[in-house]
Amino acid sequence: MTRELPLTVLAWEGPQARAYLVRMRRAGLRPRRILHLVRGRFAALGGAGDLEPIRRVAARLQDRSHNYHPYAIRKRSPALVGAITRALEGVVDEPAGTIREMYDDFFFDAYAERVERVSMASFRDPRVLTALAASSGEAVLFTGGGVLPAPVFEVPGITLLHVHTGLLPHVRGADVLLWSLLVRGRPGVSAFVMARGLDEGDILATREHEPLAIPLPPGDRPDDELLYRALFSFVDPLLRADLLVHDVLAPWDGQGDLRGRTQDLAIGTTFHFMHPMVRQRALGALFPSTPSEVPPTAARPRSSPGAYRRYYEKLSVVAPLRFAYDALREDLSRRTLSIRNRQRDYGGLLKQADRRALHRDLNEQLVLQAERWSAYDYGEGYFYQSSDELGITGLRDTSARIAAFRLRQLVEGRSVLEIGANSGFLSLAIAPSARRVVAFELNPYLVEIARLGARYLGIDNVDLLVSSFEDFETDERFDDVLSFANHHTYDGNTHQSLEEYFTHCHRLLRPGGRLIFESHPPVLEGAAFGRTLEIIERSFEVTTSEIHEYGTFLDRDRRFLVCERREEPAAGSA
Amino acid sequence: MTVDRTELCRELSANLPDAAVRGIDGPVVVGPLVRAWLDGHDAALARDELDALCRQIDVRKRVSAEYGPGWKAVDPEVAAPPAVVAALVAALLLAAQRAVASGDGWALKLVNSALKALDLAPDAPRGPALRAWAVDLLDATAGWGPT
Repeated sequence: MTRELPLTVLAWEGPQARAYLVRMRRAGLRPRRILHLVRGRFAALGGAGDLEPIRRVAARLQDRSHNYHPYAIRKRSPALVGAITRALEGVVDEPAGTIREMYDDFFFDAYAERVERVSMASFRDPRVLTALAASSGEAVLFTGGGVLPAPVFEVPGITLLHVHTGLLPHVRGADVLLWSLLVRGRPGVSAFVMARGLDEGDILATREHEPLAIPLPPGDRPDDELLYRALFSFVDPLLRADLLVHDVLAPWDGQGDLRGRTQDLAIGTTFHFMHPMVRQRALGALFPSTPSEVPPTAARPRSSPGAYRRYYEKLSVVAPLRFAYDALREDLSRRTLSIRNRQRDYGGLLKQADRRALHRDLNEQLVLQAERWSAYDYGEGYFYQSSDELGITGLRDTSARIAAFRLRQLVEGRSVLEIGANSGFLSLAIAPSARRVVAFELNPYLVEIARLGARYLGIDNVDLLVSSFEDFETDERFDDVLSFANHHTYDGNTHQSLEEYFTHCHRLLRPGGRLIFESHPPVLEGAAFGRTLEIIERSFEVTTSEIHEYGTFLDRDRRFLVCERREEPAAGSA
Repeated sequence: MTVDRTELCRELSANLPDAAVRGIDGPVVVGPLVRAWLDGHDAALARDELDALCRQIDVRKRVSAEYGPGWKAVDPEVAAPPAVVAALVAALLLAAQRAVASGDGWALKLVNSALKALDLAPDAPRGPALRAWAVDLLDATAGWGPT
């Protein structure tokens, strides 16, 4: 039994309109009319004749364009869609079935007796306003975003409805689902009668859900952009549709106007779109995953540095093509980028052949590392650090890192210990400024790479050692200890607590010495950094705290600290 | 945090022109307005004015040296120099720091705009220190760490 409501759905192609219509159908409700908007370049397909068959084709093309993200996410990230669906069970009705119906052979004509496709340039377009005028005496459900222009409110006799994923009047504006998660700790939804001001009309219904978490499958955390797209493809429209159908349309007998309660506009905050760092916090709360879950299930690389041996034995103009081919075959952006870096460096080698022997020896270490070093992330055949001096492009920009941190000035004339030095390129780059550098690293192949580099550059004030931090002991006390992104690892290769780590740093410094510290990227550490900082401050006084924007995507948003050693660690240290 | 942010505010304020008196709903010159905030002449850091500046940053994606009555753009519209943007960011963060406990999201909104303003002015003096301050507040406001 289906009940028709005196309702026109102003269908702005996208997840919202589809979710509303699907949920209405599943609840036995039907709008009297759908105005299916065909916009912009799609509307132009209709040309002067503006014929219905052409509008239908244009609507199909619009569907593929406007729903590109939900289609792509369902195809490429089914595990993510599955995680979202599971999390929404018990929050909204039939999440899996609703999502399926929204994106599998959805056709507007199945959801109302009258479906009119209206070509439009904007909401000021007379064709839209004329079509709306035919809904006089009815409610009109808006399914887009933003503020509607004044002419729409001047159409006589219509009541414009909208559903918003924030609890009104507290949370208004844009990105409100994410703001709700940060500000109120839970998603909220509100249905209201639209007024000219943003989210300012009378409230028809509100609901604030229990805190929502969508745990992600281990080892498969998509980037924030994809999570954000998924949120607005699947979570946001279902939350809206559930409130609309349950709390507004189902109880409405269709007689008389929908009336709401007046909003108190003196309270609440109007939010704008989130900065990526703020968004990362909100998405981190909504889509929890633990750092230790990320690496182990990553697929093995498809390319191997062993395949490049011959190109370093004898320089070849064919080699860049091989690198380009291998870069295309890799499915992790980091590996693709790494092989492109090698392609670029090889191009440099063709112009500067005297480095060939060095690069041959360095590649040999990468081969050995890939074959024998099982720990994740240190043995995939790529350079993590760059070295301008050696003609190596890495995933992190050593020169930009040193310049941003003013590292050469900081360590000038001082004795420096670098913990977990990777391939040692940073130590080699600051060695000419420092009095002496000791750098150690757990991975022996990386240490050998560092030694090859030191020999090539003729640097003799750097000691390069193989050691874990737990095992590293010396009677020497240093002016500066460099702890760059290694106070914990995500591959389980260290077995010390953070307290032990920073107490050990304290012990290795002379009185008045400094810990110079760089954090992990926020995606790995964001939520935990507050605790790390607390522990650092037990043994050190933080005098500089900066976040530099420089270099590659892996360099960004990391915390840089300069910390002066306290005389004695405070109570609570290990 | 032991980093001295009072000193940072003082340093950034010292780069700005002196505070000027302005009438209610009159034109706004951002530099002196921000200096007044940072120097503590306007301890309240007026919410409406901060809100208007957030809107300029977040929606119009620019910070101008001057606005007409009602925060309208003046013609010609001149971008605020990096020193003014840096001081404005400090003022937003100072206001956010005072509002952390309010729990209504106001502090987060200010931090959001501060981060966006830093993106708009990559050459703003003391940008890395301001960015770190913003992230400290972000973590504290999101309930994840100490300030």
